[in-house]
Amino acid sequence: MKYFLLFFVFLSLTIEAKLKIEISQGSKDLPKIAVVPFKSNLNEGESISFLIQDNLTLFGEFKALPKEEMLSFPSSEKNFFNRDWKILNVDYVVLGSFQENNSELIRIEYFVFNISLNKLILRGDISGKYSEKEEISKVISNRVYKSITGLNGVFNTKIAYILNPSKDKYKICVSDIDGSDEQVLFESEAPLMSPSWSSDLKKLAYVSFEKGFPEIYMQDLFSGDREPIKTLGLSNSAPVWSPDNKKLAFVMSLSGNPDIYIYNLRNKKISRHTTHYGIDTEPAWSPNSKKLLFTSNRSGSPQIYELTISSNRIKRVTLDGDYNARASYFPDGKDIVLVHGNNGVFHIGTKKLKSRFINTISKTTLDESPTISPNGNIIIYATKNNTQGYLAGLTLDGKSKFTLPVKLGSVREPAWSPFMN
Amino acid sequence: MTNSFVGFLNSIFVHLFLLAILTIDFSIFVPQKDRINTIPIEFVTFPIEKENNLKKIENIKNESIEKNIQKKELIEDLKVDKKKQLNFDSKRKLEDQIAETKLLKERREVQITIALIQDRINSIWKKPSLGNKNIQSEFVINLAPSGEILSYDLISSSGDKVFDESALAALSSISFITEVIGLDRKYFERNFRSFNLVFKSKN
Repeated sequence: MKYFLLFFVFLSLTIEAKLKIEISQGSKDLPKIAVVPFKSNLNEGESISFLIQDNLTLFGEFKALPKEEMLSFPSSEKNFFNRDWKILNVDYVVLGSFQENNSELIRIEYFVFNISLNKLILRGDISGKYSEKEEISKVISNRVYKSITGLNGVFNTKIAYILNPSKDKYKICVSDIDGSDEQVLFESEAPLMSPSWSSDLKKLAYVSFEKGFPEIYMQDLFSGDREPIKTLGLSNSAPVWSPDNKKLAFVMSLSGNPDIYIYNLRNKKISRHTTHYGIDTEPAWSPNSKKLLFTSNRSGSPQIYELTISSNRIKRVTLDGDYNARASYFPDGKDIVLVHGNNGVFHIGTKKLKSRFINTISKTTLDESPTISPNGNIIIYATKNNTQGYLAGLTLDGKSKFTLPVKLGSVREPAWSPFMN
Repeated sequence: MTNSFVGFLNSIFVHLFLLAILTIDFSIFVPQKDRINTIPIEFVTFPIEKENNLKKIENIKNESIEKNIQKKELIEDLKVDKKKQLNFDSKRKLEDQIAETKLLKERREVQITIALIQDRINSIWKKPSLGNKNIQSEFVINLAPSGEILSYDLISSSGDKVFDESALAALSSISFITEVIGLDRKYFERNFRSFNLVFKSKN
């Protein structure tokens, strides 16, 4: 009996001691994707598949297989052969076809295959006008992206930014995330700053110096109507719309000392949330609209703090580095992204709210204003090349970096829109 | 005549020189050989040491009566405690040392193999875009000594289908883990016959 028990003790020990090998890096190669030209009864088949390919490779997350290297051009499940793509080391294949039903109306059928698993992972169809092919291919791209990564696609989101084409000219612009379809919302000879999206994507809040002092305006994107927020203070800045669309957090100096205030959009009342004599600025909402991150120099250097709005309780978030600013939450509310500086070198970094460690992800030294994609996978930030400001971005795993098309003038303060519903 | 005489002297000189080298070498080599075999020395030399000590103690005994008491204690120490303790201690120490060096060697070889396997799987695993998700999935791998993957099973899912499938795709693309070939069979059986592979989204 004794030996029998001993045997079991020994067995349990051996089970406990089983070797565990951890794999966390993954390959440095990007996943290879082949978007086969779509088959159609018109000659326009390729135009849609090209648009889809451009979308999927926009943030450098995939490497596209050129059409010339493809061994076959399947258009449906029937004429698809996995081995044709395995030979080419392709990871995913997108194929499809479309038909023109009656004038202008098209119906597109598409398929996504995972080659290494030899599996059809998505089959879908969509109908629409041929003239709206850009929008249609963005919707298809989002669905394909979701089937491959499990994350929501952001190809139909928008971006707002400040354009500075010449010395005394400022424009506030909105464009599609790929830089197309740029619209100028407002132009001024005085500086414009800090654009922020309302979560229903109907309005934009920003700061304008048109009257000689910083003032917050809310502008309707469709009608173009502008409405200033009337406050007692002479210096208002950094407006941010809450995700529930009920409030606007902003910074106001009543007596020369900036503090965090919240403007209630329903009853138009203003409440004060910080009272420290240090500078409190750059508020950012948590996804549940219950907390705010902000930057304060109350400890002597700029650091990030978290404010619980119901109780006004304040907790310091960053401890390392002599400069931490411009923080915002990830969509899950657990991590934050920020500008982290040490000895005069500034990087974009991420940090878990609960741990002390800051993980720097960008390697250029003049990065500012990071904005996170609504799916939490991509960060776009403003950076400088000599004197010209432009927008650059990277994926969170650090595997790909990209720059957005250069505009005529310096671009600053990007703000990524929430998801379109 | 003179030439042959000089040759004779020369050869004697050379032979003497060689003989000298051999004897010097021999005398250097002997203690070295003893030093290498530390195991028997401690057991063998102990009684000699003890005898020497006894002789010395006897001499001291004769020399002074005052020191006698101390020496007696010493004798007792040597006779009773040291005999047992030293024997026991040195034996145990040696056993420990041998076991430790064996273990160290195994650990080193296992570590090297682990690093090689990590490199290999990292190079074939195409990690999907994950945002800031912090997830992991665990597989149990069964290997043959040839490195052939006999089976792989998902034992703990990450909850993310795409993530699990990316790991599965990596594992399905290889049929051999050749890194275990050449490993001592005992080490293989103890560590790599069946092991767990954990795919993590973050370091």
